[in-house]
Amino acid sequence: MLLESNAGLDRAEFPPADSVGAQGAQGISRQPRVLGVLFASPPSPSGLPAQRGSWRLLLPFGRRALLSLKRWVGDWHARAPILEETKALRTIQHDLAEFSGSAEKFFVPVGERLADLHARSREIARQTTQIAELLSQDERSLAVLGEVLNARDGGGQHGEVLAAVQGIQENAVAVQGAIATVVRLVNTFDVLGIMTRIESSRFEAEGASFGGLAQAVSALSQQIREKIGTTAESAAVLLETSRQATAEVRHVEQTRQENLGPLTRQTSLGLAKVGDHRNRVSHASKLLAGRFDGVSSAVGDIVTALQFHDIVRQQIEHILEALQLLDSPGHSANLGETVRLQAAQLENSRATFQRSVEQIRNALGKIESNIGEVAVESGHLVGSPDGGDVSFFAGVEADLASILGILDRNAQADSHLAEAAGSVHQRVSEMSGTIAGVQVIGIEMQRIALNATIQAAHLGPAGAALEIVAQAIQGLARDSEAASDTIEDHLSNTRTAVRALEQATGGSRSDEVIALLRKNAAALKSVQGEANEGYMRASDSIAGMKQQIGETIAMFGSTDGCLETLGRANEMLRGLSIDAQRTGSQGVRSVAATYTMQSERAVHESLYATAPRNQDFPPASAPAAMEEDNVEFF
Amino acid sequence: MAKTILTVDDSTTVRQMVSFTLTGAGYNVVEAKDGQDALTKLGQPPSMVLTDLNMPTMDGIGLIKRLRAHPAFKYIPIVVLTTESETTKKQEARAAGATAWIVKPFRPEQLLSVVQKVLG
Repeated sequence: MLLESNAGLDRAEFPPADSVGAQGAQGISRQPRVLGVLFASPPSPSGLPAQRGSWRLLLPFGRRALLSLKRWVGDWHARAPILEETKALRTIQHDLAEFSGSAEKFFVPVGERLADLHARSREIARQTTQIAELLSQDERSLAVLGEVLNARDGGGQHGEVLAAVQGIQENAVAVQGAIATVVRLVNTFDVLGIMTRIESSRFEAEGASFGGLAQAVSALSQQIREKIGTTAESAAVLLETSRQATAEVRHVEQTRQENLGPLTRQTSLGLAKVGDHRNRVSHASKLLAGRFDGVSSAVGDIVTALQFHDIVRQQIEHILEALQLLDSPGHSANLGETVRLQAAQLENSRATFQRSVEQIRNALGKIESNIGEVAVESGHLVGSPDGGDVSFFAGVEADLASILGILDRNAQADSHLAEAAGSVHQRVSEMSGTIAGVQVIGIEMQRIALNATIQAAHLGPAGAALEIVAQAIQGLARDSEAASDTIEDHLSNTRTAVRALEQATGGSRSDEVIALLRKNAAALKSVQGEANEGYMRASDSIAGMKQQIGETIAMFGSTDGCLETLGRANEMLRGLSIDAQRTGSQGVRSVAATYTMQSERAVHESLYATAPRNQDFPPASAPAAMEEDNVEFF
Repeated sequence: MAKTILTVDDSTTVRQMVSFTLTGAGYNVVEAKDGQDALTKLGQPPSMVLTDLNMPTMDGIGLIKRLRAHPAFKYIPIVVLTTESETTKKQEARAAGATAWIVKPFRPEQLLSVVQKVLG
């Protein structure tokens, strides 16, 4: 048992026999322990602790020797830690010495993973930003849908189209009326032709001759009939064509009116969807930016918290240095107070380390949570391509298909209208050629009338009847000329109306808008494809990062062992200092000069400057966080 | 061209965090575990030195004095990054030739602000 005692006291100084001092006041209370060690009775058969201080064995040494020995042991205890305390101190020192290496095992890997986590986070941010930018190119869709709305009533030209076909029809009716007039003239001309032949026969019987007048009238009459017949047919066709064109216009107008409501509704719906999507993308982008800011902030917290490993390591080194001094001569008298002070410092370090561990865990949790939200918001960006609600793209695609269907019907109607206008144009061209022939007939009539007048003049009074015929023919010629002029005017008006119709139908932008819509639909499909690919890439990156964070959190969870080590050392040190009196000895006070950190000085001051007398330990949460204004430029 | 910063600290975690912060901002970082190690890594003069004070073999004050004594490094910005906040130590570093002083722990934006201010 003696050997066991001495093993722990190898550094203790044994005082000379005559230097028994009275400074053993603190050590007196410890005397019975050593005496118990040195002079322990054998264990009692009952198993109860043996009674200490059995003097019977010492009787042979004499009373005086015994008293000297007692004083020596008491003095020795005053200047060296006793066995249990020494063992405890050794254990504490051992644990604290091992702490730094064991804590580094967890802190360093977190630091190594931090760079990877941050890089992954930035890559995901880049990918989601790309998706958002891709999806924000809505101007084209908005412009095209706006064009649809502008062009939905055919550009406002159907009034002009209707007016044009009505004009065509009216003029066609007028042309037919004028031709009917010419037909009546022709009938009258036939009668005049008969009268000319009669007069010619009478004068031939008396020896006079009108030459070929009657033949000329007959031939012209035949020519007129043929030409007027053709012209009348053309006029009838023109009238029919104009009626068809009018009916087509009315049909087109009806079709457009029927389509106008659905077209407006569908287009407005599409515009609203695009606008809503734009807002959603913008909102999601802001949320994503907030999440990535959260990740950056958490990374910053980890950067700060990881540094506390070094700070706490240095604090513990200072504690170890102070505890090791207790083994040196002259310092053991301050054992209790030194231990008490270092217990306070260790409590501060333990609390600081615990806070840093919690900060790292919280920050890792925050990163995990934010990246989880990034995954959700990214899905919202592309509209749940995994098959949830109908995505934005699918909805707009359906809208565009519906709008295209309506516009296709409008385009077909416009096409029929253009064909009708073309038919009218062709009929008018045909009639123009025919009318030229009618105008020639009038000139021929004039010639015949003049010829008859001359011949009637040659005949003198006998040619009075012929003169009348000649004048009648001349009248017919004038009427015929007037009728052909009328026809020509109406044809000219018809040509003007046809041009107006062609311009009005050519002004329809259905084809142009349809082409724009198809192009936009193709572009949207391409954007959707790219966005989905981007989403898949981002999802892979997010999954990888989640796994990395999970592994890091699991790995860092094992730091509880380090905390337990510090907690155990702290408890042991506190236990050793329970009985220590706070005297503020010079030796302990002088330790303050060795502090390099503000937190250490604060702990010291809280013990010796501001803490109440009956308080054994300072508050556990002594300040060890970042100092304000921790930067200074020289 | 990216600027190079030499970081000197006996703590692996601190060197890690300094490197992480500065490389993330586009700087090149060279690490050394104490003053002696730092001197062996000065083949190409860095734009700036960031050093701890309490290190084995050669401490921060010793490193600063050695650097200031060398013509090539006489005017390089040297920032002290330390747990210490004691005035006499600060004055000692200043007298040795330090440019600025940061007390640990730093936040990334703080460190970057100091570096940007020092490097201009």
